[in-house]
Amino acid sequence: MIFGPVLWCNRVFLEQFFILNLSFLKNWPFYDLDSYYAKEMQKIICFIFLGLISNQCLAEVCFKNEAEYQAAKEKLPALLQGIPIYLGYGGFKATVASRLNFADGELKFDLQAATIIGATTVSEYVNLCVDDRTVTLNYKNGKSEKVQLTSKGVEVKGVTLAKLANQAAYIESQKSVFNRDPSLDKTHSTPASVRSEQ
Amino acid sequence: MKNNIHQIAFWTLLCFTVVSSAGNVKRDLASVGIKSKEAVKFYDKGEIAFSDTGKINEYQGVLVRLDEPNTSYANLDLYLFPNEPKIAMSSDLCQQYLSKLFGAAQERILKVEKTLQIYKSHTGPTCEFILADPQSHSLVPFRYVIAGFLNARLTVLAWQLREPLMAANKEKLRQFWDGLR
Repeated sequence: MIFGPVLWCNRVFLEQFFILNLSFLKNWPFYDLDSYYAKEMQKIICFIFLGLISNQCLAEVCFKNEAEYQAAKEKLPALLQGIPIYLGYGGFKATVASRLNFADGELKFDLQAATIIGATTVSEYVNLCVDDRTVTLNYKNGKSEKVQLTSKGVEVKGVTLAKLANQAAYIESQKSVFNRDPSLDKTHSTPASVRSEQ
Repeated sequence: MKNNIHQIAFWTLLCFTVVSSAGNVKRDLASVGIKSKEAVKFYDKGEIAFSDTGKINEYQGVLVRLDEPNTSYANLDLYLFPNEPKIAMSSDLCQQYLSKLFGAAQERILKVEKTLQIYKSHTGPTCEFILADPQSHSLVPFRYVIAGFLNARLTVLAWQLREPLMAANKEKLRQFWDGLR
């Protein structure tokens, strides 16, 4: 739908800078208006139009609780259209189970990860800012972290967490985290290598 | 024959790289300028995947107390603030660092249980507080924090706890702080 005006703007700018001779497009809208003022008006219209487009692309949507989420939901990428979102990863680098959910109406990011060295638990309230390319997790202490949306899920710290089908899959994923280090069923597990070094 | 030599050279170089990089891992608490009476290992934040998620840059890594059987009390997060110009802990300073670590009061969802306390330890005035997560069934329902000046450097220890902290256990965690130099 926006291709027509975009092409027209391209033509206006190209012609202004004498890059192309487009005189053969006599029938194009506004082309007959060959006066200096008409040309200037065309440029102004194009600047406003392109400005609107770029604003639309960069417009950031932020939310930190369920009420704000419901208001912003329609503008969000498909992955964020439904919360809770369960994400998991199982590989050599780490085993991860994570969840973005509302806790008493507030947005919360939970993550449990285990590696060959040890395990960690993250449970932090966040607000989320989303533009057309990236999601930014903003923690309450001011730290923020960019998360890339991919076709499979989200990329956090170089690990692509794939979207899990549902809560049952998330719980299974959690079990696999625990299986890496059975002592984990507490907050920070003692790194396995430490125990073996004793 | 020539290929074999290349292969041997490649694997030797690979093994050397792995062994030497493993040797560079600093597990000694002295690597961050702290000594402990207890047996403690230090894991840099870069070693444990996702360990620094949501934490400020002054977070250093995880300390593991090797003789503590309860993992909730055995593992704690270490923060160091070498640029803090003040040299004594006070209630105001502690409040300031509470906000720095966990967010300002008006933003923070975690609630300070009772109030933060200043008590006297071997390092002088020392601050402690407990943060509770109002969410039922939170993965980390409580956090216990000790903050004070160790070797004239502001040092913060933070435990993630599954259970409310009883007085006897709190005393043990204070004793761990007392064993740091």
